[in-house]
Amino acid sequence: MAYTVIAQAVIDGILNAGIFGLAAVGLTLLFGVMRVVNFAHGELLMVGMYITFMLYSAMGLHPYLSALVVVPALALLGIVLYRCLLKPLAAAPETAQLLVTLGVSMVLQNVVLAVFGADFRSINVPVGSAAFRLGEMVFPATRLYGFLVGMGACIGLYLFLRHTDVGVVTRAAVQDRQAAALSGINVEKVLVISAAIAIGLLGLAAAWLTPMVYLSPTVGHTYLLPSFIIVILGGLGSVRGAIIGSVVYGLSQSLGAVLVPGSLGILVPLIMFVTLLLMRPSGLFRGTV
Amino acid sequence: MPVLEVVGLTKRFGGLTAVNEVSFAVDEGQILGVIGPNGAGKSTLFALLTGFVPATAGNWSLAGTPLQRRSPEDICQAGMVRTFQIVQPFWSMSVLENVMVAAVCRSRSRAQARTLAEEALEWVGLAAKGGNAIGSLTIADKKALEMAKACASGARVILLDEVMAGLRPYEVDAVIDKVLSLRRERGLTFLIVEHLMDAIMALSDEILVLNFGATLAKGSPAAIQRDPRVQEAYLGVTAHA
Amino acid sequence: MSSTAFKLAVLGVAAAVVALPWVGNTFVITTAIATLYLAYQALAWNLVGGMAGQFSLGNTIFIGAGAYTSTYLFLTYGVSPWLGMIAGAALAMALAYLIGCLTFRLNLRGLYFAMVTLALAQMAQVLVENIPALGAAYGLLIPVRDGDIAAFQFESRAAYYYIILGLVVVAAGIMSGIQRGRLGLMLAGLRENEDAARAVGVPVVRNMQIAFGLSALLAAVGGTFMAQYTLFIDPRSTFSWTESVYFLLPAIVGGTRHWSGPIIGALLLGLVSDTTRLLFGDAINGLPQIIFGIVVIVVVMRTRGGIVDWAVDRWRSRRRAAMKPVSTEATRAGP
Repeated sequence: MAYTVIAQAVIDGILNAGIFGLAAVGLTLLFGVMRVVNFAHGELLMVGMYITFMLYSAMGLHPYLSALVVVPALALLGIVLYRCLLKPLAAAPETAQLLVTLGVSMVLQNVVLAVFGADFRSINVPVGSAAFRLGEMVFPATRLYGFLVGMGACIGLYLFLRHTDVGVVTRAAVQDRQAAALSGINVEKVLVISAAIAIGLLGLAAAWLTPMVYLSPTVGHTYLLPSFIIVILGGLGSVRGAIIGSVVYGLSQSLGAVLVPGSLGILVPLIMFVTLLLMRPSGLFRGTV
Repeated sequence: MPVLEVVGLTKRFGGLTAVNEVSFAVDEGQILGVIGPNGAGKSTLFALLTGFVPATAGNWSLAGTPLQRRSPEDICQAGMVRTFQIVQPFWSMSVLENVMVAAVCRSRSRAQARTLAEEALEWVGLAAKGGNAIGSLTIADKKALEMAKACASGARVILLDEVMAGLRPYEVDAVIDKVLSLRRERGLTFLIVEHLMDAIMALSDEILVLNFGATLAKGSPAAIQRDPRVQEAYLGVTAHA
Repeated sequence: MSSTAFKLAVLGVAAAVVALPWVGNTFVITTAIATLYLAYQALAWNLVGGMAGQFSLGNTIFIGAGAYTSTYLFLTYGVSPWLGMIAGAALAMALAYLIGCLTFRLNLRGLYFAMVTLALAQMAQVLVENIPALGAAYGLLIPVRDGDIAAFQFESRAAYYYIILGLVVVAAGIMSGIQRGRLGLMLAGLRENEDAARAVGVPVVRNMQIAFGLSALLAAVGGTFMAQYTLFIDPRSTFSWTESVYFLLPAIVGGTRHWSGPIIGALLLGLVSDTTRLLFGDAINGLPQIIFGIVVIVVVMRTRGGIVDWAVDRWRSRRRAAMKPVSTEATRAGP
């Protein structure tokens, strides 16, 4: 009996990692390439989710299909964010960019609040209530699809950085921007592409998350804190670390919910974070890949 | 009586051995020049000695106090301080305030730090520019500021890292004079990394030559200049006298 | 403006501030108290965030420590909140020390410190929400005892006003005192160039711990005050992410280098908040925060240090330009 519960929690945790990974991977890429701490990461995800919601309410567009719209939209938003706010602060102390993204997060969250109100919204799509059965364990279809798409995208990014020309060039820019520029690499293009990818991935996560959760202007925070924890655990700037970190986080969250009574289960991933940080402050991996 | 003793100092970065079993001793009031081709490990040596880079092996001590595995601030308070090859001032503070930061750790009050700082600025000849902003200083002044900070910290042993790089000949002479007078009047000990051969030969009591992280030779300036191994390391060929 | 005119202006402002409860109506006093509290917590944050340069997102932990300790001791044991305040401050300082051990010692500064403090603040919220003795998610209500000074409650609002005013003065005084002493010099060096400061003997961990501990102390005292003023505390309004961010805004906007920075920032933000409420009522939800966000963006992009710092720098560079020595050397500018 208990065995099934734990097995379910383990698989749930791994499945959740798919979506966590998308957010974390973008965040770590932004940090690795631009040394930027994006406090607006959660809010950008939230904006993506509201766009998905609007497309569904207005046009009946299935959320999974709206990814075709949301991903480019958010990628564009990422480029705008980089060009207008982050690039001018490239020479400023590291707190400046952090603060500017903080400002962006405040603006985004409250604009959405003003427009949509604080009420919870949700989408009802068939896939939202479908589920797979394995013995006594039940897995919502959305979670499985979320995992497949999320992990797929993360691993895709990893392979992209590892094996493609653009990927190698990006890693060069991360390691030594000056040297990369001197080698003829168009560093500006790398930064723009990275911003587009990082926020675009959030769009993907948004499209997949929307059928699964209740929307509110603060939903971004639910995903902001885990993203940062995962990024720090995995090693700042390491995509591989973010992927593995999201699995670790997902597991600790689901196992914590099952093994610890009440809502104290939320403490488990946080305690794990603090403990792991003590043991290995710089995170699991170094380097971009 | 050696004030600084270094035994078997080693630093490995993965597969690269940057500093290889370097051992030497420096007496109080001595000036030890450290030379070697680029990449020989000179700056790494200084970073190791002052705690900025953790050593892989070896130990060193100042007047008997072991310093390995201590933090840079501890090592400074124990009496050894370094200057930086690329000058590292506190950009938004004035010249005097820069030196006051160096003096504050051995002062009981800000006023006392100020007095010590003004004193240090006198020694390096920057007293007139105390109120200036860093941006208005010449490179020679910035290097002098690094020395002033080192002096104000109260250390007995000062590690000067290419403090003459980028200076004109008359500015180099001024630095040589300053170092000699500080040694004479304050009893300070110096380790100097330098590429200007004339200057370092004139200044040093003894010279330590590093190559590929290991000690190649150690001796008086005259002996080093004649040493064929040193000539080969620097020039690639053995000079035929 | 001449020196005497300036001094008279300062005296005038001070007189107006002191006399406010006599001339203002309830709305004015309430707003003033809220603004002063914001300024106070901003000054507390600035000790660690601005002066030590460590971006703390966890000051709500200390505010909560102060509020919950004094309230719990009062409700359960009848301990006067004045004493409870001291206990709360002690707890906050202990927590700050532990957090400092976790972060400063391990070289986890900058982003790490921000994230760890944020995570810990979230942990605090969840923890308190699950402890029935602390009111769980519903919070704690303090019974009204009007005029019972030993119970830290006063009949008139004016008393609260003067208390928070006094606290602001104390906090500003502490910040000013630190800046003019040894600690301020060391923190400034660490902030500007940590390696260079350490190279000349400035201890990092100890100074960070001191700044953080002081910040925690002040925050906790403020927490007790707020608990006694509103007579209600709950985890959500104490530890939330929004709260954590709220108290650092004035210092960012107003400036971190001078004690007037957080105060001016608080005044500005308070002004924005009240003006929008006056003009739009509650029609546009969250409008003040939108404006705050925009203000932060603009300030960070334009001034790189807050309004007061920017003004002081401009004034200083104008003065320095007047006494700049003649130099024909080409100088290398910038780090």
